[in-house]
Amino acid sequence: MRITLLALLLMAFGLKGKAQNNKRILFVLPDSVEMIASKYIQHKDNPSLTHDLYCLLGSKGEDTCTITITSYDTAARTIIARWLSCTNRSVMIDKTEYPLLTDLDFKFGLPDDQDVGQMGKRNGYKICPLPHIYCTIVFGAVNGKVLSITSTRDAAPAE
Amino acid sequence: MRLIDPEAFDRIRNEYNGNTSDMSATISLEKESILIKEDTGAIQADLQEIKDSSVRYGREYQMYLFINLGTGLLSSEKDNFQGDNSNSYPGYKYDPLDAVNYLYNDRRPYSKLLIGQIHGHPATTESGRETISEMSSKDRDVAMKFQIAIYGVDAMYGDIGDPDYINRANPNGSDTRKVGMTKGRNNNRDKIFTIGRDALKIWGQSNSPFSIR
Repeated sequence: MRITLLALLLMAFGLKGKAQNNKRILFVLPDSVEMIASKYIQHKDNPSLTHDLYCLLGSKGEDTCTITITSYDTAARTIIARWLSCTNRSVMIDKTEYPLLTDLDFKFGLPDDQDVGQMGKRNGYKICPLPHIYCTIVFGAVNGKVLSITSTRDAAPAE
Repeated sequence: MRLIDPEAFDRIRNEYNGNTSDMSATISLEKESILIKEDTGAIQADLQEIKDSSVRYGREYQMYLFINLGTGLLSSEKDNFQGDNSNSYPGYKYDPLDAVNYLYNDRRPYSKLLIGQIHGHPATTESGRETISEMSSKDRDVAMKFQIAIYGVDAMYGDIGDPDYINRANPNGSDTRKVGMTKGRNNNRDKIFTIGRDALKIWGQSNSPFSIR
C-alpha cells in the first residue's frame, strides 16, 4: 500500500511539474548577453541570495533591447513581489530560470487592479522601477551585439 | 511664486504686447493667478519620517511633492507600501492631454501635479556591500524620464529623529550631492532645506515627462 501511495504521489508531482512547464513562456537571450548576465550573477559583487533575482526586459527603439538583472524582497508586500509571483514568463541564464517582467508591464500594468474605473475614465496609475542594485546590458535585438553594460555603484562592495 | 493657467498668461501677455512687467499687466496676472503656499510643516514632517522609517525598517520608504492646482498648496504625501531594501517604485498618473504627471492616487478631475519624488537609501542587507551617499544612474534615469527632481535621503546610519543628508538627481541627467538635510529635531523653519521650493524651481525649468529618451 505504501509503495502504491508513493508511486501515486510521484506521478502527481511529476504531472504538476510538467503542467507548470507548459504554462510558462521561456525566454532566451543572445549568447553574448547571457554570458555577461551569468557572470554578473556569479560575481562577488552580485546581489546575494538573501533577495531573489528577477529580470526586466526593455526596448530602446526598434533594434535595441535592455536586460536588467536586479533583486526584490519576496517577503515585502510590494507590487513587484505580487507581479513576480504571478508572471508566467521566465528567462534562462545558465541553468537557472529567473522570473521576467517587461517594460510593457510597467507601461500598461495596473499596480492596483481593484480600482480600474469605467472605460473612457480609467483610474489606474502606473509605477516605475527604481532599483539600486542591478546590472543593465544594452544589446542589439537582432545581432545580439552588446552595446553597453551599466552596473550598480551605489552599493559598492565594502573594503 | 504664483500659479497661473498658461492660456490666461498668454492672453494677458498678448494684451500688453509682451510687456508683462507693466503695472496693469501685473495686476491682471495677479488677479488670474493664485499664490503658491508651501506647507512646510507637513513636508518637513514627511521628509523626516521617510528617513526615520527607512532607517528603522531597512526599506526605501517614499513620498511625493505636489502642487494642488486648485488651491496653490505645495505639499507632500507619503506612499508607504511600495519599496523594499534596494528598490523604490515611484507611482504616477500621466495625462497625455496636459503632458504632465499627477499624483498616483489623484482622482479626476486631476489636481495634484507631481513635481518631485523622495525615497530613503537604507543600509543594504546584502552581505559585503555598503550603501553610499549618492544617487544611482537609475535615479538619474527616472529624473530624466519624469522630468522632476528625484531625491535620495541617506538612511544608512543614525537614530530615529536624527538629521541626514539629501542628494538629488536632476531632470537633465546630472546629480547634485548634499543639497540639504532633513530637519532632525530642529524646528526652526529659517534653517531648514525647503525641498518643496527646490523641487518646484527645478520642475518649472524642465520639459514634459517622457520627452527625453
